[in-house]
Amino acid sequence: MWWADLIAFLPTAKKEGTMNRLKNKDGSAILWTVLLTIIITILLGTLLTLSYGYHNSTIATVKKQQAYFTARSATDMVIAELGTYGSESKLMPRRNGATLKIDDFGFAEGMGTAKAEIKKASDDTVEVKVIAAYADSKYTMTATLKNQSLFFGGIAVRNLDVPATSTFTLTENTDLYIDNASGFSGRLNVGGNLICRGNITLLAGSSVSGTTFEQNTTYDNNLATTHPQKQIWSPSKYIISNYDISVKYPQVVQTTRMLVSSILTGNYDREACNNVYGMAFDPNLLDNLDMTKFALTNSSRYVKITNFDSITGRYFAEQGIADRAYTSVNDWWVFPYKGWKVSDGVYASDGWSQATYVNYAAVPGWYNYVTPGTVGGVSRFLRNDTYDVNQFKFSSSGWLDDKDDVTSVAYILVDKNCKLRVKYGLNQEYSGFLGSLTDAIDAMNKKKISYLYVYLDDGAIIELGNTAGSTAEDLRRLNFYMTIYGTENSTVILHNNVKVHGSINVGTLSVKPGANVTVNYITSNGGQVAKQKVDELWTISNYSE
Amino acid sequence: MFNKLKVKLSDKHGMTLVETVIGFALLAIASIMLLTGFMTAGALIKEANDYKISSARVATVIDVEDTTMQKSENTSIAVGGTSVQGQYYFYEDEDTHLKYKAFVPSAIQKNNETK
Repeated sequence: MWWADLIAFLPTAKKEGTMNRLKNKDGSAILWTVLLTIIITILLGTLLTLSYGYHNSTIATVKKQQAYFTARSATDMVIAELGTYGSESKLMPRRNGATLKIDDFGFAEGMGTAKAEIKKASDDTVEVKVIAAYADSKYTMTATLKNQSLFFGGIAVRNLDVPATSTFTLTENTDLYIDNASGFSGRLNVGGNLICRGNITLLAGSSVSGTTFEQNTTYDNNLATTHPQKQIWSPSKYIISNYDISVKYPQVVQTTRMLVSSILTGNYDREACNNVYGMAFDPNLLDNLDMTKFALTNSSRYVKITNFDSITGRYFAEQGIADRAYTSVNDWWVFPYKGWKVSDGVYASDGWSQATYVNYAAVPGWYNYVTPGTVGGVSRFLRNDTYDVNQFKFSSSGWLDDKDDVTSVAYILVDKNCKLRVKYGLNQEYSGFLGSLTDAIDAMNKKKISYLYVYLDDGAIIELGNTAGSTAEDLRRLNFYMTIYGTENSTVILHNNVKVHGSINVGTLSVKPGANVTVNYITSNGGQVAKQKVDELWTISNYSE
Repeated sequence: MFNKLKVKLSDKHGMTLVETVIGFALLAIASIMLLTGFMTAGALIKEANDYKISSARVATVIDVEDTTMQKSENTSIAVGGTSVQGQYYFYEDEDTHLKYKAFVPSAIQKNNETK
């Protein structure tokens, strides 16, 4: 064996003592040197090989790092585009199973290249695969985006004016949309979600969707700050600033539009509920409503405050059923059978039409105005009616039946630049014990809440709770069961302790300084409105790096 | 082969001084080579380590938008028939001078991230 020869050859293999080795004159220095050199060279070669391997590996890692950034940049671009525009994005494949390919993202020099495949796996799932190349390194990244629908059910206003000394409360799961690019600042208690077209500053003490803010908090779009644009606690709880939820899904019926559409087509068999942004901001809303058709098809009563006459000092109004128009609000109570009553009359010392409360009058025989053969929804308002019915049927021969389990709807229409004050929402006799008893009986009979719709035209203002007292009875009377729609130049002013049970979708909702007001968002039958899909958020459900 | 070497080494005729000189010379040359080799290996390992540290650092810097990172002006990149707004993020490591670059769309920049 060659190795046995080597061992035998090595000087150390000789069985000699140390002194003998020192005295040994035989030359072996070169051999030692060569041997040592060979051994160390082998070690060095190994070390150099390992070092180069380590170095090359690190260089590859460095290149891979850039490839990773390139892949991530491309993935983020796709996510940003799909997240922003959703189904409308040009990067979104149109059909399920379809794949859209991007050959190059055109990044700046020094980033390499990236290509992507975007596959629409299902209606609400998109799979993104990006392959980036930098130098000789490649990096593959995948992401899965899920469509998370954004639902809204609540009130929408163009401007919300809540002074720092005031608090505006939306109960339950009610959402708030502020359609103002200039943003909002104030104290809110919003049970549902908050969306604003501009920045949002919530003053200390605010709460949104169950989260209380102990300090002033701003949500803005300013990259120089650390404030987030979105605060999403869960798919159903969020604050989103700088976001527009204007109608993006034509197939989703916006309620205001539905209401107007049904009125214009004479097909009023759907419940007019209150929701979201639609034609509420249409400056020609009242014109579009077409009073004549409105009354005829709806067979309902309305009052329209048309204009102020400085000579007579009175507001002129139309009211009642199509063929009747009255020139003075005072007529309403002179002829109570026409359907509406403004209890304390009207005065115009400061240019306001003013009422203690707006009420549907006791009108025996009012049903005579319903066209035979039609079904008409006619409401009493706030139960101050000798009749206890909401809807009735007539045949050509006359009355058929009536029932009281349908929604009561009545209307106030405030024309351009007219102003209406209503001090109380409830009549006095229904604010005390009798009112509570009536409520209890109604609840036992499963009757639904009567309801008043208010439409405000451009420049119109309605003020609720003005100069009302603060006794327990007064506070109860400050419950207003109404839904208010208005153009973007309309205004609702709420005084202290006012509670509006309904919805407010107007231009400006203004809370008086120091006032604490509440909107209890309900439908005309007293229930919460089901939230409607207004947008979709494509969010990352899986991101593999 | 080893038998021949053994015979040579068993030769009692002295060439010890010459051997020693040559041995030293060889050792010197080998030492220089070895030293150079070790230094090279050390430099490679150090550079690799620096790169690794730098590589780890850049990920942190870009993720947290560290102040040492440079940003380009807002720009848009056309892709797939649309354009995406955003900024290029640049980072050059002071020690290694390694350069990294990423594009971050405005919609998902740090300050806009969903929490």
